[in-house]
Amino acid sequence: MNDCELAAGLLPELWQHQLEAPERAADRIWLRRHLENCADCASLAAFWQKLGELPAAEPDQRQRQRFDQMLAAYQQGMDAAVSIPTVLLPRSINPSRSFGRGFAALAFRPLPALAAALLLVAGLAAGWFVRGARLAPATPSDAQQIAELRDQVQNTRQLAVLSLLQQQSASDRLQGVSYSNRLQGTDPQVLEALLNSLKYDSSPDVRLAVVDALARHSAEPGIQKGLVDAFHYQNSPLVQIALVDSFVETHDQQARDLLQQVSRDTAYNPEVRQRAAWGLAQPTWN
Amino acid sequence: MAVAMPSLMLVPRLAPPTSPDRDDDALMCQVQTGEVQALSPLFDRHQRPLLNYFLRLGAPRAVSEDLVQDVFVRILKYRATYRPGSRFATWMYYIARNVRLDHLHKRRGEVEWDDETHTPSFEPADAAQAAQEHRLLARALERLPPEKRELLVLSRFQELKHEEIGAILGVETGTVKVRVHRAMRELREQFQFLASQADRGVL
Repeated sequence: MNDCELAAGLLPELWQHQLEAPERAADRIWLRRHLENCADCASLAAFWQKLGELPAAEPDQRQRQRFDQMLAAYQQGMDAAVSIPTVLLPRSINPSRSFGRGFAALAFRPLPALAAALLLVAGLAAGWFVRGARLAPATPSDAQQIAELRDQVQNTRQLAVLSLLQQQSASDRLQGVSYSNRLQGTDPQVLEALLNSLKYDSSPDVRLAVVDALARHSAEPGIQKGLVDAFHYQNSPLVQIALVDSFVETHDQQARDLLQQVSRDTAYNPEVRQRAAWGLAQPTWN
Repeated sequence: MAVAMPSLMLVPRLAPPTSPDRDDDALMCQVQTGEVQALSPLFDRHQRPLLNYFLRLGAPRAVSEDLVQDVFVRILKYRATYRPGSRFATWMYYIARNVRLDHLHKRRGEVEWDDETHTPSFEPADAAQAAQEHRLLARALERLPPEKRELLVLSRFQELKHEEIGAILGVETGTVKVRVHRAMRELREQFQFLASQADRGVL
């Protein structure tokens, strides 16, 4: 390895000030001497400095206002979520209907672990059949076995998603929504569970994630109608705005009617009404 | 007598947070427990570097501003996934990267980002030569392949450590160092080429 190659290994560390540590003194001194004698490496070192002098753009004051509005809308949604009487929530997310709260917490905890185990099994099985498929040419019976295994993997994943969506912890449910994005194709049971979460989940975070997840399936029968229906259940302006955005992408007639209604109805949050009006003005509807 | 441990064993996977990082971490922990107003100082501190992150990766100004807002919406949305004690900026840029990729994915097939018109406007008032150099440097950066450009933006402008960039991009720290060096060489070549073109009056 020549000196320039050695310097190539040290320069990125120099740029990140990692050579300033006392124990790196030897490297630092060596590199300094090399840079004194090698014009090419010295020019590269200087170029890093020059790059850092590139001016930065300044944010606009309106950005801060937009952020404040977003945060206020979010806070409003959270407050509204807290005030929902739990009796209105379905059994799947209202543990107090079937268990005492403390007991429910204990009773629900093993399930994320179970879901994780199911996902692990699914992953291992998937890896096994992919590896098997690569190692040997598939005979008709192999192909059938692979197809069956693939179905089993898919079923296990679906089960894990359905299990996670019913957990007490919002982060577990978020994980369930996230896993649903990894499912191949569309499973009516999973879609139904997601629509249910969109209507009834107490966490605006989960509902927001569900809007994103369902937007991918908006062409599936019943999903668009489900999204439009779910809009009426929302108390968080942020979720309502996310739904408006998804309606603009899908340009469904029912959604358009809803947006017209929302844009005129003063009972809705002004931001939501404004977003609905913006949505209606988009050219995607034509 | 204390025995010196091998330095590698003493270095955590990610560098220990410095004081501003500790503030970020404390604020993010507050956000996590439902005190969402604690996100305001985080926005104040990070909106500028985030805006420049998107701009330097070629996004138009208006798009960059939207993406900054999206990052903070996602921070709220996924706050449960933040690990207390880790560096907030690393997690934030991980989110920012995904926000940008999702945006590009959604807009695939539509009009591409026009790099030249959306580079931050650099107008140093005092030195025409410096202004010209900055323009050439910005153009050289635009001409780099996206992955090299991203690496330099994260490393030079966002000042993330190699370990952190490795964690964001999913590659080894050593690989990041090698790639940063190569990207710098390529950037210098692009810059020298553009400078020679400018000298000839081509640019």
